[in-house]
Amino acid sequence: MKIAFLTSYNSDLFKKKFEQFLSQTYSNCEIFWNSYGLHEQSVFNNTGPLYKFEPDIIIVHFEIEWLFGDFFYDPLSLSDLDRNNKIEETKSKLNLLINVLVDKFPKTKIVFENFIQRSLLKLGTLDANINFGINEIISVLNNHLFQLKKQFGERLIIHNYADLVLTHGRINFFDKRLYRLAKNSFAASFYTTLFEHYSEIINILSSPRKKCIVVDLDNTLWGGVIGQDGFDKIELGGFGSGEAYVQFQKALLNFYRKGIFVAVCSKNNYDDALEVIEKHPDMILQKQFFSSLKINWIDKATNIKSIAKDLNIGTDSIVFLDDNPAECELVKQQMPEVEVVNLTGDPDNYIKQLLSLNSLKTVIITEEDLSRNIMHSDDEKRKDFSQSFTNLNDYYKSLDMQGYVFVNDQSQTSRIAQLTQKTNQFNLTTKRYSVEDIRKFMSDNLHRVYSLKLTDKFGDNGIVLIAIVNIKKEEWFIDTFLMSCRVIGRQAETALLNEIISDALKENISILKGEFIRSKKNAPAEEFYKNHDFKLINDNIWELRLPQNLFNHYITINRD
Amino acid sequence: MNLDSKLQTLIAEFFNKDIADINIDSSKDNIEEWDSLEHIKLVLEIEENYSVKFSLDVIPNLTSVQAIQEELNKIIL
Repeated sequence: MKIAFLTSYNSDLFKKKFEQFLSQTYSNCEIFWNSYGLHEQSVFNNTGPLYKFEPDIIIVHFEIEWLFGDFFYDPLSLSDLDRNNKIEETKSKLNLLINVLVDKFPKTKIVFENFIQRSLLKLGTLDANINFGINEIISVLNNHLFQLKKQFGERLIIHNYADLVLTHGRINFFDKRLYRLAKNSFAASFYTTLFEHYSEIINILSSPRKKCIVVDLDNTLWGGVIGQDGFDKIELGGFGSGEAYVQFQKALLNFYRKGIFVAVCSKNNYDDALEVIEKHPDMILQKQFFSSLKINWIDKATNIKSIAKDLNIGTDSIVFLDDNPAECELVKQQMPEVEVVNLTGDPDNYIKQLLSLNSLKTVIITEEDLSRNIMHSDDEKRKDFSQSFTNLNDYYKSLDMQGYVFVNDQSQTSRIAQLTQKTNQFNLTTKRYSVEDIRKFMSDNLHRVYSLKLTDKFGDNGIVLIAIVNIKKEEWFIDTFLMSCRVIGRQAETALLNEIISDALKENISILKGEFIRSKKNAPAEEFYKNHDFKLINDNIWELRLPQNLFNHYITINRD
Repeated sequence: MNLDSKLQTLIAEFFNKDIADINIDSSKDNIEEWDSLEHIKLVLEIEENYSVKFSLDVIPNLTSVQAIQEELNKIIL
């Protein structure tokens, strides 16, 4: 992984330390820093070292002093009108810088640190009481960054440096001596905090995100032990710790709203615990918010495995929270892939521990994420429903499934890229693509990007199937074919394959080829080509001779 | 002047040298790695280890072991 830093400060003073810090987490990281004073030039010099470096991530950290120049130290040198003009001038500068970065580095994630307010301005209180004081200008610029974010979407990520400094303490984060001597104003005691801040965004942008939080109940969602203390004695609600447990539950609920599953794994009598979940007036996480409830006396590792199975996710995308160190240790030993957090101290500290987990932080939230949990509870209804049919075909028919097929739909690029990144099980080639890759496939006339949205009588599953087909004159080659595990066993894969076949027929293509690349997790997709009459022609390559009859399924296809 | 062995060790480790190579006469002039950037880093290292802060006008003069020892004696004693 290659990470470039563009900083208006001189990084020489700590770059070795930072590289050591980062190497503890990332063994394979190359870092570029601009030479002091060349941060702006680095952006515009397209034959310069930044361009040669070809970064995956660029972190831009420009300080407000640099943007404002002398004006920062002599604010009254300008008239009211000129100070206002300064805003426009600085906005244009930001626009230009960000436009060039986004444009010239189409595959790179661009991170921009926002600006901190300054308390030690020459004008003191007067600053807030004149037209366009410096802090007002800084606020306007930070707002402008939000506007740029809206304009550039996923290409630009705003990182909250201002909040970092505020949390650390504005008085303690800088050391003027170091600015005077080495053009780096950070206090040595701030280095670790700053390094963690940079490292956080690198983690968010480069490692897979967790999908599910598994929590214990006693002394985790409430204070006390329900089996011993009883319904009326546990701490939940009111004030003091009880109030803090409510806040901890709200913090978890917030993850649920972002599309992270929340599940329970607790050693308890099912009825005792369920009574609290269903009837306690201060219980925030009601039953419908839990995607899976394992309340029993079975060991926690086994329960976590079955939660993963229920939710169709890998155990490596689970975070487990428990106050009991022994339980934590057991899960750690038996399932090293699970991220285990031993909750300690009071429930306010639990909140802190939860919110500090980098693996749960995200910078993107899609419509799909927002509705995942709603769709998941629809799934539960579907499962109940399926049990009342003895014949699978009757069940399919009764679902009233509608498939909406899209080809090269630009508005779906981020969801499509996300599915290629996240789908492991029903994924024939497990090729991971970025938003930029998908955009390229859609526009290069050599590929077709198919997507399928599936709805049924219980609700909208969203975009759940993707196929990327390489369209050559003589034959078509299926580069990617994947399906969200949420709709495995619904014949949607057959429906989409039919669409590809009938398109190929229209263009008089006689051969359709596909590939199966085995991974640790994609066994569910193994038989796909075989089941659809493809012949294996060598190790991984399957071939279907056209014309070919379409396959039967129970999904009504809608296509413009 | 006596060289505090803690300071001697710290400077030797900082420049990756044997302790015996560092004495009261060691300075910017006879330690090749001691350039202006390393100088600031060394000062920060000493500040952290002795819980002291040198003032802006003093830091540029601390370019020999003797000067550092003298300054520490002044602050700490």
